[in-house]
Amino acid sequence: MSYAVVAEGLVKRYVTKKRLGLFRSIKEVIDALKGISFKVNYGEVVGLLGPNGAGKTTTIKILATLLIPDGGWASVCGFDVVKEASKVREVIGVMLNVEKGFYGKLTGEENLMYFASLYGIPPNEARKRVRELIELMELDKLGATHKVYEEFSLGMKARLSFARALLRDPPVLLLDEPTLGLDPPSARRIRKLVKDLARKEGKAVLYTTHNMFEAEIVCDRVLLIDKGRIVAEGTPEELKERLPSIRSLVIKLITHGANRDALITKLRVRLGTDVKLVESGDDVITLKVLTSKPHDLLNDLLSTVMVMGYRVVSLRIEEPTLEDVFIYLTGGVSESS
Amino acid sequence: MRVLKNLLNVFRAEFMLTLTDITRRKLLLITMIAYPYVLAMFIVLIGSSVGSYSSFKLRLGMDPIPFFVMASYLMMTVLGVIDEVLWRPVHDSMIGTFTYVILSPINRVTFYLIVPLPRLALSTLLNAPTLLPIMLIYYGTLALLITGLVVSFALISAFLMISFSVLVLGTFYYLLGQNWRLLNIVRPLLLIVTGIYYPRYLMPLTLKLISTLLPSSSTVELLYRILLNVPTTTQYVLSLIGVATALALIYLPLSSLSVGAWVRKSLIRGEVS
Repeated sequence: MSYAVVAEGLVKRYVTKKRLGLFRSIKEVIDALKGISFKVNYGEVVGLLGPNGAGKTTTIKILATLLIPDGGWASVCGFDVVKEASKVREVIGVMLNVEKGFYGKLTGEENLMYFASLYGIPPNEARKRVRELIELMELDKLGATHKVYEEFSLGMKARLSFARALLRDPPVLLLDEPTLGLDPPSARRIRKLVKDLARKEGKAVLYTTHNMFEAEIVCDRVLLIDKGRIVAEGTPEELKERLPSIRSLVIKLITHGANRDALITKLRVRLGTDVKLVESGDDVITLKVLTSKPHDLLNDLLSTVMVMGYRVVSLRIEEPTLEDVFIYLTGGVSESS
Repeated sequence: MRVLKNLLNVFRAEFMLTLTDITRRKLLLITMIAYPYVLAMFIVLIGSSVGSYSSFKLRLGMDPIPFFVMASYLMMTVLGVIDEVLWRPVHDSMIGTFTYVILSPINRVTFYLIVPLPRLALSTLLNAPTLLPIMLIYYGTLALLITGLVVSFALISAFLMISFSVLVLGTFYYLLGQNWRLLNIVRPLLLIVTGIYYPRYLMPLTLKLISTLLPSSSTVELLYRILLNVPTTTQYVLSLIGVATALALIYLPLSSLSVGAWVRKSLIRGEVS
């Protein structure tokens, strides 16, 4: 089976200078990627998730032929990203930094025409394609077609940037934080288009984001990347399954002025797991019991609470979110830790 | 055929970009038209306060006012090419378009060779008529001929400077990184060695030798020799044309090498943004 994107042991190091004074500096090597490997199929949206500095943009840039790796190998549509960079450029649509990337004095339409010409699309074909993309991205409805770029809102800029990525109708899309800072309608529009392009047109999409909610709804598969390594890979559901003791029992109680700390201490001992106070009102508290087997603790929890004289208002079992998984696996301060 | 179509596409795109830039920045348009006169006025004022109007005329054989208007026009045209080439990657990096230039299928050297052409064409078109009034005042019926000669030589000189500019771009950006301050260093140096404000045949030998390395300095010298009636043999005229053309051609493959090295270094270091 041929993959749209293949990365094998990609390594990238940046050499920076650390200033030690006016004239003294030392070279510092930063390992941005420490040998990451993954594959992306046609018709699939793969999310690259990770904290700042994890190596997401570096990965996208290597695949987009904008960065030469120090080790490893990658291909897009079967073309080597280093040896066949010009061929790779013909099959990719790239969206980096939605805030900029166009000429300020040109209108939205003129900017797209400019890049269409630069990409070698003949003028008549370019005009037709630009009109199609303006409609697709609803730039005409926003009045962005004949407005100069420097007067664009962030939402308009992102839509225009996405339109440029689609100019050559490429089979592979490399999107770096395409909805960062966008208003909800623009973000929703881009997410819907990404999903549609993968499902209906079979495009392969590599999508970086910080937004866990977005990753859950857009991506078929997620790669969690941290400190230059892929720490987990799978569908959002698979990743959530992997997370131990993160399901939680959330219980809301009426306290009648009783000692809350005593209850929490007693519950911790009785249930043998962490119990957190997540909400505290005058007479009402909400507790979160973290466990991998919530059903097994239900009886003990309820009996302890009732014996101590508390009245239960509500009780529910919460599934982990992708954000919980992300924090847990990337070593952030997770609730379970 | 496909390559030619691509080149034409890029030229068209760049022409549209330059035209909109000029027409939508009214101040830029006014500055472009007024520049030769403003600069000439400034130089003549300074010059007349430290030197003599008549001794200039005696030494050069031309009145300082039309000379400096003409020289400023020449400088604007020739340095405009260098500015356009050297400034473009810095500007593109600042506004985030450099990435997409790199991602385009057009060869980088070809792109930077095409970049200055639209502005050169437009500035010539816009500025040529501004030369005519001053030439009419000083040369009467000969004004049209002189203006035509100056405009033609300015165009040729600027055109011959393109490969040199791309060579400077590739070499300096490879060695020093993309930095707009480079322009501030290159501009005054070229201002001296192009022989635009100070004719090359009057330069000391060392400076003259350095000046010879610039293709446009030969064409500028030829223009001045014609305008100032400097006795010149046909052989010397041919040698000036030959040197200018040969240098422009020699710089082409070198510029390709230097731009290739600079882009590769940028791709390794992750400086493409």
